[in-house]
Amino acid sequence: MFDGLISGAAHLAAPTNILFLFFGTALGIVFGAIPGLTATMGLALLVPFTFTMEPSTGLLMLAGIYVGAMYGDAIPAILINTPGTPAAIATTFDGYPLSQKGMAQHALVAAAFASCVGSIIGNIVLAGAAEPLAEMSLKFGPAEYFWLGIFGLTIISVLSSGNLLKGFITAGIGLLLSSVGMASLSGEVRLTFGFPEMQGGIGLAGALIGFFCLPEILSNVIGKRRDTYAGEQVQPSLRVIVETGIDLLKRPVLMLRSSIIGLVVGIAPGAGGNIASMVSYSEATRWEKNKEEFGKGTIRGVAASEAANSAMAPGSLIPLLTLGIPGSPPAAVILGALMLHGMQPGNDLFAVYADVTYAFIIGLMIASIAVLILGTAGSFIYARIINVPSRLLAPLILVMTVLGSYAIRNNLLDVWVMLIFGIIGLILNRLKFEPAPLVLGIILGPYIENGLVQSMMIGGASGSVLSYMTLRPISLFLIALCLISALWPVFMAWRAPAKTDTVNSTSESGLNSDRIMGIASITIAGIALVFTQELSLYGGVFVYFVAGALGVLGTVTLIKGFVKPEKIKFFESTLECNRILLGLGMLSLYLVLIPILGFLISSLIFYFMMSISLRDSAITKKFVLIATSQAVLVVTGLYALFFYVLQVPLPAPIWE
Amino acid sequence: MRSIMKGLMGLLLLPTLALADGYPEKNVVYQITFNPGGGSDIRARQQQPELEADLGVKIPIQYKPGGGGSLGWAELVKKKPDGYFMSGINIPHIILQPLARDNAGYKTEQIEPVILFQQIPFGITVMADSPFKTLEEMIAYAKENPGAVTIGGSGTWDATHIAHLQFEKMAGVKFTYVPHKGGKPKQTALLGGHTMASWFGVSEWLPYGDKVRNLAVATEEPVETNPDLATFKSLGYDLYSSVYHGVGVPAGTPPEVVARLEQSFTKIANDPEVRARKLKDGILPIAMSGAEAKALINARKEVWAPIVDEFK
Repeated sequence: MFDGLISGAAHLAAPTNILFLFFGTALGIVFGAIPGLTATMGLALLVPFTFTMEPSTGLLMLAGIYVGAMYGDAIPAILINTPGTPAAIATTFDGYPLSQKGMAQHALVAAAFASCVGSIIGNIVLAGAAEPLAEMSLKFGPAEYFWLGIFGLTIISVLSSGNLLKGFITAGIGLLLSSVGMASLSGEVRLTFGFPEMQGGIGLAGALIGFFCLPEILSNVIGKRRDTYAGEQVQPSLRVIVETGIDLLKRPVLMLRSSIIGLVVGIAPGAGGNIASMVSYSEATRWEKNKEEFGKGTIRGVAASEAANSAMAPGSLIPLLTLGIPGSPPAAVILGALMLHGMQPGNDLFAVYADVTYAFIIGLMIASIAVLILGTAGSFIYARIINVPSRLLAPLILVMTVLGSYAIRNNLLDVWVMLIFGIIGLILNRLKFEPAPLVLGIILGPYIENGLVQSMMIGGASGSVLSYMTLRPISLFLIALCLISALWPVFMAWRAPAKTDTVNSTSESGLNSDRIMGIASITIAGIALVFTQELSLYGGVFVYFVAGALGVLGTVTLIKGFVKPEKIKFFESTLECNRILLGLGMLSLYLVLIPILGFLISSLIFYFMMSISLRDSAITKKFVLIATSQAVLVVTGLYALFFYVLQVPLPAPIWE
Repeated sequence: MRSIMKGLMGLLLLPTLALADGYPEKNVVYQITFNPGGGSDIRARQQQPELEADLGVKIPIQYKPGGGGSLGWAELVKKKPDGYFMSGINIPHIILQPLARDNAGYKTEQIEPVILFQQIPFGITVMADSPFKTLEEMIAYAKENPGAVTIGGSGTWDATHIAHLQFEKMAGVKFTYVPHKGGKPKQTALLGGHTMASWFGVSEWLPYGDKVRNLAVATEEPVETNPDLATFKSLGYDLYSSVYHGVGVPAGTPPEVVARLEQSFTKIANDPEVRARKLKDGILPIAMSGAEAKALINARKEVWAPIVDEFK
């Protein structure tokens, strides 16, 4: 191993290699930061360029992209509450509140710092103990994935800020949404209501963009006309960097815990950064002191999420480099690149190609330092983005949401899904339901379903499904974790009796959120049950379980709505209501126009209209001129980037 | 040397085909129906520079993943049949999806195959320490314990699943088929001991070397990489299972345009370097013409349609 490390380090003495490594890292940050572009896409686009490079140079560039993207996705999560990739969902929980307090730079630096630490810890383990840990990765079978998914669900108790019933209802809806499309194992088509386009299921990326980004814009910018996107202006300074760094250095337990969680989830084949950061965040809220700060803006929350998703990357490379099994989608692309250079994962990598392999591993570590450098230096620039007046920023972000949700699968339906999720997100916010459990449900659904169905098959063949699912070491461990996690709130309540319900700050008039959600859940569960009657046992079992549970939870909520009514004012004023509806109307019109006028023309129209509508003072000639030139500049710039550089087939006008 | 061979091959092909004058005049889009970075994508990106050189236009690669490829193929058949939009195609996917789903969004006949450029034969693989030394032993065990043997596959209504159903019928035994979400999870499951056996392609088992043992391969002739491995045919089962990768255009594309594309792809497929690399990875390099591919599709469809009907 040490020979390998030394000959590997020799590759990094070459200036070209270091240059490509930094280039890759910078590019990775960009791909991570733009919602709709992912690490996987960035890697895939650059793999062809590595054909003509030395294997070590090419791999170092890819290493940079992978590591950079794991940090980059935190930037929009912090600044505009939109996770750049699913791995940064948990980063929004504290990152965005920090931005709203004017502490965007704190969050950005914490993310860069934690990403760097997580990545370095992960890489040390990768370099030192890849082979024994690879054996562990193979132990993850269907039963283990099922319990991992269930354990993930127990995070709801953390995410739903004390209201478990609400959390589980939204998670149940998320689980059902995850089953839309083709059942990944039985191949049956479910709940697509006759649209072949829906067979691809609900795109997570589009759903995330709509769910996290749209409600913020609709409420704050379009509805309330807040001047700046996040509320407070931010003044970046060197002092913030030093402060944040020292603060995190004083928390080695948090950093280590988060990194180990990320590493372990990464080693489990197929489970990626999204689970890693969620689990790490919820464990941080469980074990850290002053837990009431979480969710209101603490750099510890940002660090927990980012350290975990950055440690996930080297973790996912452990089964990849030793067994050829990718632990995450981007790792799968790296596998492709390795094979193209004639390097077959397995023993060869650590023997025949040891120098290149170790150069790659060391490259990953240097890339994480590059992330720290680019991230802290860049925080001066990124943080200022949210100082831009929101009426200038909002049209741009809205066009980006459309572009991002389209580009991920080149599917216009995904853009509509994005808009619908935006509306759902807004409604949930207003009804005082936390949105995060719904996303958790969409993410965890496939793990739970596949684990359950395969366990039924394999357990059935061995005689007993139940004993197959429970009597295995990792399963037992995960079951114990589930129990601890589920009983934790009870334990906490017993230790420190909760203060009496403080919910009743509601007005007399208004909507009864429990009744609305109760009826909605029962309806959704009913629809899911009625339209899945034709399915085989394996294709339907998950839907039946979840719909059944959702029906029960919905009924309980409905009863609660009658017994203990909780009235909520949906809109603060008619003006706000009208503004939000106008915004939604313009977005819908935009989406209708795209297939007719093409992306370019409809975006120009939308951008211009949106700029005008966000202006409250008189519309002067000068303003029209500025708005027009902005629209042309921004939209054509984005169009050129996506259409010509990234070769995304943006819709053309109908006459072309 | 390579360029001379390429030139010769071009000369040989030219006079026999009436090629479209002036085609292509603009970029030809190459659609991939799976995620960026997957096998199909990397293959296309390897072909891309040579295609661009040969056709003299840009070949932008576009992605339309989802539904196991069906979303992309549904997109393909909606396009104008003018040769400016082509898509990677996989057999058996494009045959089985329309058979198994009520509304796959396309029909097999709506896709005109241009070429199939590679073939991956499938077989049954177990771990090296498995008690099953031969296919017969596994069948004998399953006869005594119906359903107790778990065999992994890459999905439902894909190559491994249909081969499994055919095999169960021929052998007259019942196994438990365990579908996975693609090839990699299937491999992990076998390696971790979660399934007892698995349907592996040659390119899937080769990297594991001595860790795994193959019981039989579903080809006519033994495969080059494992010359001693029995074929199902030699053991008395009339079973042939391979995945084929190629390129297709919407049905109704002018024949001379299809011929021009076929010529370009054939040239790449016959490149000695490309062939050698594929062989090393356990992939059979082929250059099956559009007409042959059509015949293959029709023949397979006839065999599979009744099976899909029976088990759907």
